[in-house]
Amino acid sequence: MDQWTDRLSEYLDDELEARERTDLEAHLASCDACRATLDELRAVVSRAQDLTERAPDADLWPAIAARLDGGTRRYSFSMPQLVAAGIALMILSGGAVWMANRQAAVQAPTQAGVQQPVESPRAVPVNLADAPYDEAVADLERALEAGRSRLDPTTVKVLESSLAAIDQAIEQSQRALTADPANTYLYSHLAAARQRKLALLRRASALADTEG
Amino acid sequence: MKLASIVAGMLLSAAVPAAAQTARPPATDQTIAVTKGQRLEVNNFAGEVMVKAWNRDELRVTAEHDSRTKVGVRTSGGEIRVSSSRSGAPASVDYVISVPAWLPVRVSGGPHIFASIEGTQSDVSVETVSGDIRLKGGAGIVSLKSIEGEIFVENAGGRLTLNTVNEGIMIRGATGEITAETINGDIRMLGMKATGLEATTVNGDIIYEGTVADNFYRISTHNGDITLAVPENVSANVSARSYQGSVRTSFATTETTEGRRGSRQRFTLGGGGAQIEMESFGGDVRIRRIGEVSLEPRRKEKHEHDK
Repeated sequence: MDQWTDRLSEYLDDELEARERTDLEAHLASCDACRATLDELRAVVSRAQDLTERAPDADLWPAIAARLDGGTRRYSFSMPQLVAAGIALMILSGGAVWMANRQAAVQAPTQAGVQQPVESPRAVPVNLADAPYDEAVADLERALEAGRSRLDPTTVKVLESSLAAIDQAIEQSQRALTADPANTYLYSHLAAARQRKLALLRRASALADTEG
Repeated sequence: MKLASIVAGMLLSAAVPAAAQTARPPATDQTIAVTKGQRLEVNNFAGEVMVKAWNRDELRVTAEHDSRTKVGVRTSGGEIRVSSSRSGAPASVDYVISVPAWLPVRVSGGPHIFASIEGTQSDVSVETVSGDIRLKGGAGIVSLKSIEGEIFVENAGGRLTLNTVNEGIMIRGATGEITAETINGDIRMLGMKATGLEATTVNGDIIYEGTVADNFYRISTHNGDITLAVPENVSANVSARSYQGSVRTSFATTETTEGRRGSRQRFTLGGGGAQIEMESFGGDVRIRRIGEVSLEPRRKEKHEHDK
C-alpha cells in the first residue's frame, strides 16, 4: 500500500484537487497495484448502480482467494497476500455499502421526479466479517497455546499484553468504522492492525516452536 | 527487562554449582585471522554479547562461562561461527568479541541475549527475546529484533529494520532507509538523516527529528502522539491525520486542506520533495521546526536508557 491507495475513492468521486489528480494519474501510470485497486473500486461503483440499499454479500473471499492462490489452504498465503486480500475485501464490502448508499442518496428521486439534494453518507452498519482472517488467527492462537508451556512465563505475559493492545486497536477501529463507514483511513488502519496481529501471532507461535 | 533479572533467572534455571556462579574468570581467549568475504555468526543461549570493531584483520573472542561450558570458534567456508556447548542445562556465556569493522555480524540463538555492537561498518543482524539490543555504527543491512527488549541505535546507516514488541526504540543520528516497529512502546528518532522511513507502533508516541530526502516517510500510531521536527527550509508534501486528536503545524503552509473525514491536513513545505504521511487514531500530530521544543527524553527516561 502506498500514499495514494486511500485516495483512490476520492479520485473516483472527483474530489481531488487538480494538482493531486494529476499527481495520482502520473502515479497510476507506474503502479500496477493502485491500478488494480482502482479497477476494483470502479467495478464496485458499477455494481452499486444496480444495488438496492442492502448490505453486500459477505463472502467475497473465495473469489479473492481463488485469484490469489487457486483456492489452496489459507496457510499457503503469504502475509502480503493476506493483507492485500483483507484490504480488498474490506474496501469491497465496506465500499459497496457506502457507495450503494451514496448512489441511493444521489439517485433517489421524489415521486415528482425531482432530485433531492445530495446527502452525506449515513452511518450504516459495515460488514467487517472476515472469516478467513478469523480462522487464520484461530489457527495461530491454537498453535501458540500448544507451545505456550515452552515459553518463558514473562514472554507469554508480554505477548498476551501486546495482543490485547492490538485487539483493542482493532475493536476501536471497527467501532469507528461502524459510525463512519465512508472513512478510507479507518479501513486501512483496521487492515494494518489485523496484519499486525497476524504477524505477532506468527512470530509468537514460531518462537514457541523454536524453543521446544 | 534488566540484565540482572535475566542472568539471575538463567543461573537458577541452569542449576549451575554455586562456586561456578560466583567466580567466572575469562575462560576462553582465542584470536584468529579473518579475510574479507567472511562473516561472523555468534550463537548464544543467554548472556551478553559485546562486539567491538578494531583496526586489525583478526577476530578475538574472550568469553566468561562456567567450567562445564566449552566455547568454540570454527571457520567453515565464509562463516566464522562462535558458539558454546555444555552438558546439562544450556550455557550462559558473556562474550567480548573484537572484529574488523568490515566484518558482517550476526547474533542469535537464544532467548536471553543482551547484544551490543559498536563501531562496525557492515551488515548487522541480532535476534533475541528478552534482551536489549544496542548498536553504534553499522552499515549495509541492519536487522535488530527483540520481543521484551529495548532497541538503541546510534550513527547507523544503510537499510535498518528494527523490531520489538513490548519496549521502545531509540535511534540517534542514523541515515538510510529505516523501518521501526513496536507494539507497546515509543519510537524516538533524534538527529536523523533518514532517506526513507516507516515507523509504526500501537501504544506509543513517535518522534522524528531531522532532515528528510526526496522519498517516502510514513509514521503511524494507534494510541499515541506524533511529533515531526524538520528544518525550516524543508521541502515536503505533508499529509497529517488524526482520527480523534488534532493536527497542528508551526510552519506557515502554502496550502491547507481540511479533509472531510476526521482531522486532516495536507500541505506543501518549500518545493515539496519528500512525501510525509503521519496518522494517529487517538493522539495528536504536531509538525514543528527543529529546536522549537526539546525532544530529548526526560532525565529519568534518559537515565533508564543509559543503564
